[in-house]
Amino acid sequence: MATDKNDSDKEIQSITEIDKIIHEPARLLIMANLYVVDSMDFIFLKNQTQLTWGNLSSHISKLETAGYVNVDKSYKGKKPHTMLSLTEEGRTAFLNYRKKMKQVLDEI
Amino acid sequence: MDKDADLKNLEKRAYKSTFEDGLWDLFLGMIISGFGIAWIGDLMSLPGTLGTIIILLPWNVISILIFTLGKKYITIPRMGIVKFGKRRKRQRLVLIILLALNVFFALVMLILFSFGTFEDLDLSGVFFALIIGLLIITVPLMILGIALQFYRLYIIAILGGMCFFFSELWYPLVGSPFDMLLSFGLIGGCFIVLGLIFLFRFIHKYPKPTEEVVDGN
Repeated sequence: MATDKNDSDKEIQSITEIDKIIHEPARLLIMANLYVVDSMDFIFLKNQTQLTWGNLSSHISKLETAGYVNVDKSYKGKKPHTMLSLTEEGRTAFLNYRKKMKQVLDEI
Repeated sequence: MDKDADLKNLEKRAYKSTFEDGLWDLFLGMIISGFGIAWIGDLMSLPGTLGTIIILLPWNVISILIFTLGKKYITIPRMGIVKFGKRRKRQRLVLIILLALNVFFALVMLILFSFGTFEDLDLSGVFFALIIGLLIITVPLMILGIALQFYRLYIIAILGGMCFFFSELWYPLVGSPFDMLLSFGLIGGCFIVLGLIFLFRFIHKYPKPTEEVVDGN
C-alpha cells in the first residue's frame, strides 16, 4: 500500500513539474518550430503554425516574457520586421519539457 | 527516437516549403531552354561561338534576375524568412565543394577533349552527347538536388542532361536548329511551365500579409 502511494505521489509530482508555459498547444507548436531552426520571422512562423496573427502575437509575448523567445524587431527599408529565435533558456526548457512529458507518459 | 524524427520532419517541412514557389524550376528551365534558342544568333548573322554567347549571356542574366527578384519581391514578402541551423550550413559547404570539384572535372574533360584525347575511343556522336550531358548537367544538378533535398531537381537533372543526346537523335530527322529547339527548347519550356504553375499556386496559397503580420504586433 505504501509503495502504491509513493508511486502515485511521484506521478503527481511529475505532472505538476510540467512547464505550463510550453504545455499550451499553440505555444508548444511555436516552440517546436523555433527549436528546429536558428531563427525565423513572424510571417514564416505564421505560415508554419497556421495560427492567426493575433493569437500568434499573444503567445509570442508570453514566451518572450518567460524568457524563452528572443524577439528582434528591426526595419527592412520602411517596413517593420520581426525575427524570432529561441533563447538558450528556451531551448533548455523545451528539451526538459520533452523529457518530462516522456517520463509522465511512461509512468501513467 | 520517434519524437526526434518528428522534430526532424518539422525542420524538413519548413525547409521544403522554401521550394514551393517554383522559382528554381523556372530558373533552371530558362537556363536549359537558353541552349534551344541560341541558334537565333545564326539568324542574326552573328559569328558562331560569339553569336551563341551574345544570345545566351543576356538570356542567362534575365534568368538570374527573375530568380533573385522573384525571391525578393514574391517569395520573401509572402513566405517570410527562415535561417536554418548548423547542419544545413555544413550541407551548403559540402555542396559548394562538390560543385567546385564537378566544375574542375568538367574543365579537365573539356581540355582533354580539345586535345583529341577521346578520338581513340571512337565514341559515336549520340553516345558522346549522352556522356557530356550527364557530366555537365545531370551530375551537378543531382548533387544540388541531394544537397538541397529538392527532389524535383532529379527529374530536371536527368531530362536536362539528356538534351544533348535528344538533339543528336533529332538532328538526322529535322536538322538544325530544330534539333536544339525540340530538345533543349521543349524540355526547358516544360520546366518553365511547371515553375509558373508552382509560382501561381504559391501566390494563391500565400497571399501578401497585412502590415500587422509583418510587424508581429
